[in-house]
Amino acid sequence: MKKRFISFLETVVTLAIVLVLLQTMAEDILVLSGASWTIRRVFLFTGFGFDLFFTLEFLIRSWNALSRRSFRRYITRENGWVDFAASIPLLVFTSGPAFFSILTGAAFAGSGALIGLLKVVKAVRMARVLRLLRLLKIFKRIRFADSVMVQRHTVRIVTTAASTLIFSVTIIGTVFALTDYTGTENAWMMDQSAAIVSLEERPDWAAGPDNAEVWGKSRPSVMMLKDNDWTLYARNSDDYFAEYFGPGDYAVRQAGSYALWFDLKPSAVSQSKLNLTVFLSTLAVVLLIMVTYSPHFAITISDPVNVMIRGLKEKSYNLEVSIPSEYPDDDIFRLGAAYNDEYLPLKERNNSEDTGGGALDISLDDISDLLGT
Amino acid sequence: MSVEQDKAEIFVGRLWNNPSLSGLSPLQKEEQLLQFLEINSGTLQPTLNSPAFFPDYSWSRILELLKQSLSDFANKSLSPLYEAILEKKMDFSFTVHMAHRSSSPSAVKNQLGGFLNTLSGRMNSRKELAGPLMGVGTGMIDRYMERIFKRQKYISFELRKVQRLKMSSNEVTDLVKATMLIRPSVQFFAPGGQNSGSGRNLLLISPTFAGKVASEAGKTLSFMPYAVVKAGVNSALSFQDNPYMESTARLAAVFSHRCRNMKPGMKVDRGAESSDKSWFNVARKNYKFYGFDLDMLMELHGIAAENGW
Repeated sequence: MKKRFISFLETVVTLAIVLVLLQTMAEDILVLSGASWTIRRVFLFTGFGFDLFFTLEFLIRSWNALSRRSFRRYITRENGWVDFAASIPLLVFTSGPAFFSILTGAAFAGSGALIGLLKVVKAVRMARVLRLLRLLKIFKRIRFADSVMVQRHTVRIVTTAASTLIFSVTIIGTVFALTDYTGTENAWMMDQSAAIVSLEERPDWAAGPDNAEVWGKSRPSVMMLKDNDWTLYARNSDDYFAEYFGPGDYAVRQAGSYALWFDLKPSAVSQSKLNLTVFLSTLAVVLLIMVTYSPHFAITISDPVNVMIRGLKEKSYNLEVSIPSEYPDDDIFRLGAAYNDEYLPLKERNNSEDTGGGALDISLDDISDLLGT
Repeated sequence: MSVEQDKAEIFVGRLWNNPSLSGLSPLQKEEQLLQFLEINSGTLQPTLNSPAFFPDYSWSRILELLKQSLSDFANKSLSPLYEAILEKKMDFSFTVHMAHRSSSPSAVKNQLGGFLNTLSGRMNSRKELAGPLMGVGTGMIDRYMERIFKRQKYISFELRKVQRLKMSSNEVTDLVKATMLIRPSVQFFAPGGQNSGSGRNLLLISPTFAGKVASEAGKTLSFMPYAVVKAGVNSALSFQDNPYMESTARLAAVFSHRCRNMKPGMKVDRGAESSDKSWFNVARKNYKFYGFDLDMLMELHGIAAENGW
């Protein structure tokens, strides 16, 4: 009963991993396609739900491991570190803050430097790449090879390659986000800074709706300009903003008596592009290793080993190890050649001299029903 | 039939039909089950001594009952097998090309059928029949002989030019099959032929003993050309010590050994060589031990490798 319940929970977790991977991809695709805030909000909520679910899963597994005094084993050997990295940091740094900002309706706002604020926003978004680690969680659950050794080695290689890729992107991306802006976002961010500076130095440039209109249109990053709650300029209608913009899509900054609403979507789009690139690259690495390396490992390591094990254990098993012409000097095939040329002939001679049995296809296990054992 | 015999038959019937033995010939099954009963006597004895089976019998009596029942099972399958092999898998027209005692192929066939029944009456020669029956019955000999004649290499040369067999390829194939079926006469006429199985197998014999066996077998197989009987017996000689032995005898020796423990339809594991290729390669390493012709093994290994057998 307990086993069945645990098996059921494992199935639920596997299903959740599949769904969260789809959800992660969909979330980024929606950002790229400029989907409405209503739809994106649903995905942000579900993202938070999944992060919460996986955090609970990690805590339960940790508690279970602690109670069995095998926490270290769980973290190091059973990929518990993946469970951790793909749960708590995401809940704390990404989906948790987003969830609460939606609940409170708060936009990114502050009195500090705008660039500093945007760097933090970008670093937080960068952490979402960690979600891709869940690909490894599902990979380690799928039994794709007959041999335990093939499975373990392939999982180890996939985990190493994919986690290196994901962590590198996350860490390097965060460092770049916190230190400097590069690439396509640079002009956009400079435009925002310049807008604030220009209004602080020449407030009269936006005095009155007409001036504000001219000024606003010359600043692509500005989506709204208010003076003491009086809207001087709005790039789009209120309905449009309500439909397509949510908390986190914009930042509000003060410049004298003016309040400026800046569009942060280009940064989100850029981040989603990166996320999708990393996701698809990771998926490609995982699939490529599964498709090319697993069979290679099986052919060159586990298959010859299994043939030799059967030959050593079963008296009637006399098949030789197949030695590929490309790898005759591999250690395993040198062993296979010795097995073929020395062991099998010796075994055959031994069998022919000894008719006392052993080379039997039937064992007592085959007639356990007859013996009532 | 007594109640005990019924029980023995039911028990042996369950063993006989066990899926792990599927694909084996009747004689292979019989040999395996005889060994199984002997090896596992310690475990089987308490169960078979229980009230459900034979509570008042000694183990030796139980074993006797089981062996008798096992032999009955094998015999039931053997007679139709002999008939099928002699009728459908062989043709004795090759005898007309050989110096013989003026008898028709059908008479030779009938006499060989009776001889096979005689051979299966003694345990050691009965065991030796397993290989020839498997080889002829499964069509393995036909497959290899076809390739041998197609290649026109060493074996074909030995058959045609050295042994001077002036007959069709199919007739040579049938000649090899007949040689194989006569081969167990060595065990039949060997001292201790009634032994039940344990102990060292008789692998090779001396030319003197071979001459005596051939003489005795020739009397029983009076319609069969003596050259065939002699080759059948000579197949138990070592080729290294008797380099002039018939090529049909050498082939019969190799094929009989090969087929003795062969399991048709055996699944080849990934990373393993095919069954025949493995066997011939191992036999190449052991050719002196078994007295095989190394060049023949090389060619047969090549055929197995080419055809993925």
